[in-house]
This record gives sequence, structure tokens and C-alpha cells, in this order.
Amino acid sequence: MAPNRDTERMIDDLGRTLGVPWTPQEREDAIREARGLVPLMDLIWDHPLPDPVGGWRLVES
Amino acid sequence: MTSEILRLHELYRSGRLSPVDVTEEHLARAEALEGDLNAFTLLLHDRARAEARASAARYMRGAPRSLVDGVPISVKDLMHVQGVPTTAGSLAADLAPQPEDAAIVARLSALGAVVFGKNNLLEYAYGIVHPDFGPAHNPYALGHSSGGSSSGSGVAVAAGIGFASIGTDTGGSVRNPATWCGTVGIKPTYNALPAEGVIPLAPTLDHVGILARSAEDTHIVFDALTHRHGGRSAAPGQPLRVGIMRLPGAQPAVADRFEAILALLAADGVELKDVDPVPLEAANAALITIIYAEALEVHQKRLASHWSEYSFAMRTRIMAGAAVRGTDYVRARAIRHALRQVWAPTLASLGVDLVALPTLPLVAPPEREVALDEPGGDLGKATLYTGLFNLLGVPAVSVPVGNDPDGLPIGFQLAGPAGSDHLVLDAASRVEAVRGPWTPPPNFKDALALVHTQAQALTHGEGDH
Repeated sequence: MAPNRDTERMIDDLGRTLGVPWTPQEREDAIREARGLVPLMDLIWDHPLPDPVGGWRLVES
Repeated sequence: MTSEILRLHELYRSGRLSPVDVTEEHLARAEALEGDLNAFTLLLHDRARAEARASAARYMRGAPRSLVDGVPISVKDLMHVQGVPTTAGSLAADLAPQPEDAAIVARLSALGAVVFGKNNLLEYAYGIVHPDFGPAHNPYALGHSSGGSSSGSGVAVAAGIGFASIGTDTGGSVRNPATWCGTVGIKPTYNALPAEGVIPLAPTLDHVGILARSAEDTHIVFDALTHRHGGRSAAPGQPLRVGIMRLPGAQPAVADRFEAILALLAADGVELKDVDPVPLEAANAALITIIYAEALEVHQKRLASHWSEYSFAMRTRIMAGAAVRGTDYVRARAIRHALRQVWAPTLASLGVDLVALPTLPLVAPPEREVALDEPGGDLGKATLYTGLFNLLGVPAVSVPVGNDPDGLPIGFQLAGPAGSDHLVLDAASRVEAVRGPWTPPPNFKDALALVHTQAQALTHGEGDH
């Protein structure tokens, strides 16, 4: 299931954590690009995978 | 013989050419054309001359180290070279001289190659031209994009500067400039070429790759770098079986040329069938998710301390990675894992050895129109064609197969299971054979004069007409 995202809050949280001196335009552009990512990330939640709780294990080589 | 490198090697062995002279020619050519092309961040005069002299001495003794001994090869300026900084195409980079070579650079030198320059690139290989570095200009049309992120590599090779370049490819960054600049470019199996000492973009997707002017030259460089000699694809005599992946959105000229090459391959005995082996949209979404998450992790510390040195578009792109949640990243890696598990068995069950598709859906757009900066935009469209093979970690090669009505190159892509690099490169040679001779960029024929001279010298010497 695709999670709900408060994209603006996630971007702002990172900006505060890193202490970046961004301009309002830079912040706005980052949020816009992040919002463009959301539909793509929703696709990965729509793609069927075996159920890990049912025993499928992600073990990458 | 299509291999310039083999010709050069024979000319060196026979004493008709010296690595010292060839290196000087290529350094001079790089300098002369740099104003037009912007293909290099740095030329390595001292190193190149020293390596060329050492190579010449080995040939004099009859003891070259490899087929690439004395061959001028450039490297993307994302790779450390001892004694000079790695700019990564960004003002945010550490400009202190690097203490040692990247593993791939050291391997080139150990083989006797002449590492003569560092190629311009998109900033930190992340799809953006830093304005202080500027774009590398496409030799087929100087106002058109050369792609990226290994843009300077594609430009230099296409313009006849050096015989190959080493690039990197996270979602298509070798095959994209190879296509738009009309060169061959391979992204081998993941970790087939070492990435130590190469500044990462997304470490689990980054591949070191090769650009050259023919599949055979690409194969020679790959063989040398992987210490293989004469290893070729399995099952000689068996017909090559290729699955055709028909993706939406290709420009008519691209689609037409793709179909024309398929027809030529079929006439040449290649077995073709349509396939739809994996869910491409989900694979591309997983790729983009992993890139944004890993690139943020790679850059966030430096971003905090060097904010204003990154380009405007780069810093906002890195920050956009904050939208990827931990569960998104794990889900994307789970999809990658699941697809990797089924890729080779799926090809086997479909009865194909390789898959084929256009490398990119579009020819090089004008530089001012390039917008490799939006998920779901041009970047998303481009990675839909190339990124699957980064996600899978399998070899994929782009071969130039024609030009659109404006003369801009079109690429044909082949990919296979992990470890099938030789099969993929052999198939690329077969595509070249049915395609016929390739035309270098028309405005740079003079730049290829030395190569042609070398070829003529050998041809006359061997009576090979």
C-alpha cells in the first residue's frame, strides 16, 4: 500500500536537519521535484511482490 | 577489420608508428577542438607523455603489455587520477590532488594504456550541467545535447580524440551519450569493472563502462580490463535468438531505423520474436526511487557544507530525495531483487539469448530544450529505455545504427543476462556488420585524419583492401 506523504514537511525537515541556506525558490523547486517523484513511488507499491510475512525474503547478493 | 585499436597495435609493433607521436597528436587534437567541444576538464600532458614513452620502450623491446598498450584513452572526471583533483563537474568537489588512481585508472595504466585526459560530465553524474563547466557539445550538431552524464566521453570519442573513454552509467549515462554522439557504449555486468575510486551517484546502481568507435574496440578494451583474452560468446554455430522489446514513445526516425536493423538481422539469420519480459514501469519506478534515495545519502553531508557550490538545480534535486521514505527504498530494492531473480529464467523460458530495443526514444535535442531534470519527464522517459539494465545489473550495449533526417545519430540497444558481456558485444558487432560502415561527424573529419592515416598505412602495408 502506498504510504501517505506530506512531501513539503519531509523536504522542510531535511532542510532544517542539514541547515541548508536555501532561498524560497530553491525550496519550492525541491518540493516540486519531490512531488513529481510521488506518482513513480506509488507505482512500486502497486507492483505485486510475494508476501515477506508469508516467508519471501529479500536477500540481495 | 573494424578495430582502430588493433590497427594501432600492429602499427606500433611494426615500428611504423610510435605511442609518443600518437599521444602528441591526440593531445594536440584535444586542445585544438576544446573550444568547440568542451569535452575535457583537464588534459594530463605529463602523465600521458610519460606513459607514452614507457609504452614506446616496451614496443621497442617487443614486449607490449596488452592490446591497449600505447592507446590514448580518456576517463570521465568522476574517477580519481593521482596528482590531480576530481572535479565531478561541480564546484562543490574537493579540489585537492588525489593521492592515488581509481582502480579502473590504475588498471588502464597497468595495461600500458595512455591515460591522457579527464572528460567533462554532468554534475556528479546526476543529469545536470553545472553552469561553470558548461555542456560538452555534440560533434554531430554543436548546438545539440551530447547526453550524459558521460557527455565529454561521448563527445571526445565521437570526434576522434582518443580511442576510447571510460564512463559511468547509473541509469543510462554511458549509453545515452554514446547514442546521441554516435559511438558504441557498454554498461557491463554490475562490478565487472571496478568502481573503487569513482565518486558514487547511487552506489548499488553505478556501473563503470566503456565508450569507443566500434563494438570490436569496445570489446578489446573490455577484454583487457577484465583480463580476458579471446573469450567470446558461447554456443558458436547456434543462431542468435533476440527478443524484441517494443516500448512506447519512440520518435518515428528512431522506430523506423530500429525496424530496419531488425529486418537486416533477420535476413542475416538472427531469430527474432516479440517479448515483454518484465514490468518496465515498475522497474523504472524502482530505479528512480533508489537513485534519489542513494544520491541524497551520498551528498547530504557535503550539501550542508558546500550548498552554494552545487548548481541550483543539483541542490534542489538532491533535496527532493527527502520524499523517499525508508519503506519506499526497501520496497524498491525488493522489486529489484525479485526482477533479478526472474530475469535470466524469463529469457530462457522465452527462448531468447538477448533482448533488443532502441537505446533512447529520441535523438539528441537542442541543448536549450534538454530537461533531464524531472522524474517522469525526459529523464524518466530516457531511463525507461536504459535503466532496467542498471536495476538488473546486466550488460547492455548501444550501437549507432543510423541518423535522423537532420543527421543526428540513433542507437540500437542489446542486453542479456548477468555475465553475458561477451555475447552482448559479439551481437553488437553483428549489428554493425548488417548496418555497414559508420560515418563520423561530418565537421570533424579532419580530426580523424590521423586515424585514417594509420588505417591507410596498415592497409597498404598488409595489402588488405
